[in-house]
Amino acid sequence: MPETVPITINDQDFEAPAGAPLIDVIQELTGEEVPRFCYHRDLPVVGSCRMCQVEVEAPGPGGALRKALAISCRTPVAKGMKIWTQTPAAQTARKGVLEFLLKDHPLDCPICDKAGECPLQNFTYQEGQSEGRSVDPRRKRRKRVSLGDVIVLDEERCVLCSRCVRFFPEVEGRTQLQVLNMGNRSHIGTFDNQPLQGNYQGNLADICPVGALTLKDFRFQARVWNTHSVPSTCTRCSRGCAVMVDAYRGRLVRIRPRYDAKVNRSWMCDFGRFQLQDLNLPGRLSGAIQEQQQGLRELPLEQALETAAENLRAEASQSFLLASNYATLEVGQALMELAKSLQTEAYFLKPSAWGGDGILRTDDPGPNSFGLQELGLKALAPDQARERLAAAEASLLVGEKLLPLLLQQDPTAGSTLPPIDTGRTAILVDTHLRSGFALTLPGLTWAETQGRVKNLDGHTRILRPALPGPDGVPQTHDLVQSLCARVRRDPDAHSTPNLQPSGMPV
Amino acid sequence: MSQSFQDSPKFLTERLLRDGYGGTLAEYRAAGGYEQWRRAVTSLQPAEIIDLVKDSGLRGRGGAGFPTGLKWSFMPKDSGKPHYLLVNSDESEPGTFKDRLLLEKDPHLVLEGAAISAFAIGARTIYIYVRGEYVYPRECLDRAIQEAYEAGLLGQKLFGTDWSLDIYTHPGAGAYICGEETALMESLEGKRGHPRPKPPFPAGYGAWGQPTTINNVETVANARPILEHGAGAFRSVGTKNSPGTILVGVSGHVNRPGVYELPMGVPVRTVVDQVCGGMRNGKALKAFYVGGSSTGLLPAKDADVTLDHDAVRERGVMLGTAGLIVMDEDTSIIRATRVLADFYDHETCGQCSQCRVGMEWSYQIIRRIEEGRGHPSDLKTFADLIQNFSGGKTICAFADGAAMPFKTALLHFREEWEEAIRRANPQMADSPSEEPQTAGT
Repeated sequence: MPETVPITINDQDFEAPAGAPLIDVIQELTGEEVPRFCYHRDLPVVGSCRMCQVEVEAPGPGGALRKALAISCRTPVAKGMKIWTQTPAAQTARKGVLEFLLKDHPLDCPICDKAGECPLQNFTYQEGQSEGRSVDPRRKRRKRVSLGDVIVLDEERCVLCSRCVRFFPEVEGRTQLQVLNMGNRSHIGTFDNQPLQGNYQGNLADICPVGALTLKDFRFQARVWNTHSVPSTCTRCSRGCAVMVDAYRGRLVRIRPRYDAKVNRSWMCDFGRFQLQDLNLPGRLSGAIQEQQQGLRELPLEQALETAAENLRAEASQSFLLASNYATLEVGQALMELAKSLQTEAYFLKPSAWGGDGILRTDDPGPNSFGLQELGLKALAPDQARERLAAAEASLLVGEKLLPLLLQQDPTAGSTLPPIDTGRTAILVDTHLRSGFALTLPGLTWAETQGRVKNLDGHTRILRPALPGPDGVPQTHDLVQSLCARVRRDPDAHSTPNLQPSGMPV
Repeated sequence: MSQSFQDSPKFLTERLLRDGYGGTLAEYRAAGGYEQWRRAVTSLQPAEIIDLVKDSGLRGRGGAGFPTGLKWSFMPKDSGKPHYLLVNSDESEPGTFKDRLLLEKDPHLVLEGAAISAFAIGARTIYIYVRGEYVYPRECLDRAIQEAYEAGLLGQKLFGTDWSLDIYTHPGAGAYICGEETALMESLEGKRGHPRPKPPFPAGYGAWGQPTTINNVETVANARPILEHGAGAFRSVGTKNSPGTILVGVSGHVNRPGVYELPMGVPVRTVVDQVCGGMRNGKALKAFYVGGSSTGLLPAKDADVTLDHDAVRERGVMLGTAGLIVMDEDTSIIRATRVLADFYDHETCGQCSQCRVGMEWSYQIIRRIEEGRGHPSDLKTFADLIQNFSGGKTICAFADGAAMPFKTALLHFREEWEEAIRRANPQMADSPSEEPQTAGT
């Protein structure tokens, strides 16, 4: 811990860590967000936008006190420093910067995806800069420059903060974007107009403080103030990046990173970000389906659970219980209970290594291998798991993406999977109906799930439902608990209070 | 110390004033060249040289006028790191062309002065950053460097001591901003010429992160005469706070434009009338930029100002590099300002928001006024813009430099601007500056 020193902010006394950037200290201690464009907590500081000016009194080189404007992002806290954020000089300086930035800004907020979560827009309101005095026509620049598959650039909106330029060397260790040309002819671009590459392009849209870099994927999909945003955890690999999941009219429209100092800081990979097509898949299972010789038959959930319990109880310790590593700690816990009741083991599928990038994305698809192992579930490789399944008299398979991972298929590919040998009586909890299973119970995607996972470094993180699942589908851990109660013939098994349709917290 | 300019010693140009001096090593050595360099290495301590230069009162000739000895003393002692001397020959200021004279006509003086300066700050490597357009001056310098190496004046184990020194020239690529010392370092390192935020200051963290001093060509050149004649002789010329001579580059509407070595403290009127043979075509003086465009202009009534740091500061301008641009009565101040605004708009590096946009906006306003399309709100807006981009609000001093000619043009020639706006807006009753603001979008 760095030494803390006394400072004042707006004439209030505080203790702050010596050397910390003022801009962060002000926000932490007073809650005031000093406007900024080029400053980003996870990027190198350049101090070029000049937006975060405040007035600072500190001893100058000769020791005498000197009061002057300073950019708060590049001014480190020093003992006895006095800071004012709202003096006329500071306000005028910031308004001046905004006036310059807005001079040629197209003000096309009504059609801009950034509107509603746009620092330029917010700070303009915050600083009360509503007047534009330029009588010259606004500059025309290129409105739609494709920077590859992920990002589109609008040069008219760009304020040249260079966050995107600094992002690539900082996160990927290579430069992709540059400020080209100089002065007010500057613009953002790549060498030789090459498209952007790599698994981290999407972050540009998050860090861009204006609507200059937007996601092709989210372009014109929703106004952000209409979306319902829920903090959750990405499950596409064992990193478990903190994310916000945005839903609009019953569909997921965006996943974006959320700051987590221990896991992903401000970033996430494109593999995790662009998985909406998997989560918005049509044809969801909303009730239990029994596969019989005569064909498929819908069963009420209670009856299906009773059937499942009978099947498992009949084979007892010969039953095979397998979770995917998408299963939450709660599901894992319930499976352990169930295994105990059946006097057997619970397993989880440890998938084959797949697609790590050495930065955030790990080669373990699924978020919870670490947590399930810790709970006592035993790891099984896909081929071992398939053998067990084929030989089992009764089996229960639980968890998202279990089948593709079991079959060592690309888990993003959707529902076209080769057939699988499921032994005699296999029970599956899944989002979609699969053939070969005696009984399929409805499951949820991670974006509909409430629960916890533990990432590869042992950090426990929470999943929260951004969408309700299909009507009548309970949280999977409730489903498994209820099954367990029925296997044990608990007297209150039929009135398990938690076995209610999942849903978003009211 | 009102010394007549004719009697003043020519510390830097005495050889050039002789007929037939070609600036070769042989000619330079015949005139006592490199003796001070030998003396420095063989019999002086770096600290002695720094003290001598401090005593001389030499101030930087690159524009800011910072005391040279003091700047040298900021270099760390025994840092264990390589030290660098960067000689700034980027000379891109509109109106400034005095370093070019030394580079072309007496390159060995620059090399000797630079060598002495480097010795004083413990640098064994000198980079001379030469403006990209200065192809011929750089050739002269390169030829001189080669001569000096061949004569054993540069290189390893000089004069039988352990001291060694290497000098390299490095061409700029044409950007004005690379004359700003931190942008110069970035450019030298092979990066975009963007000024660095200070602190850290170059003496602690300069080129390639090592202790570095950046001095102007004329500044280092003065190291030889100061060693040769002593601090007292140097101080006996010029004024108390601005000792020595200064190379004044006069351009514009005078009969004999050129570079003149004059004692600090010579009045502008004397420069124009006596040194430069008066105004061209017998016209009257209207205004002059004192020391390069970024120092600001003064009207004819201020021609009694003397060319030293204190005197020009009292008139609200700066001495800069003493690049005096003289304008006669036929000159349009608006047009002159527009030409400069075009320059600053072209040359701003574009890092800082205010400077990047402010330069273009200034240019747009001035151009409209010049073309007879001035808006009633223009002067108020322009003045506010200047406020908003100047006063130390940006990373480097570029915007503050640009503000000087704009501010002084508005201050001293207000009627000319107002008249142009009135002509463009005949319906206006009163002074344009009184006009209420129009609220646009």
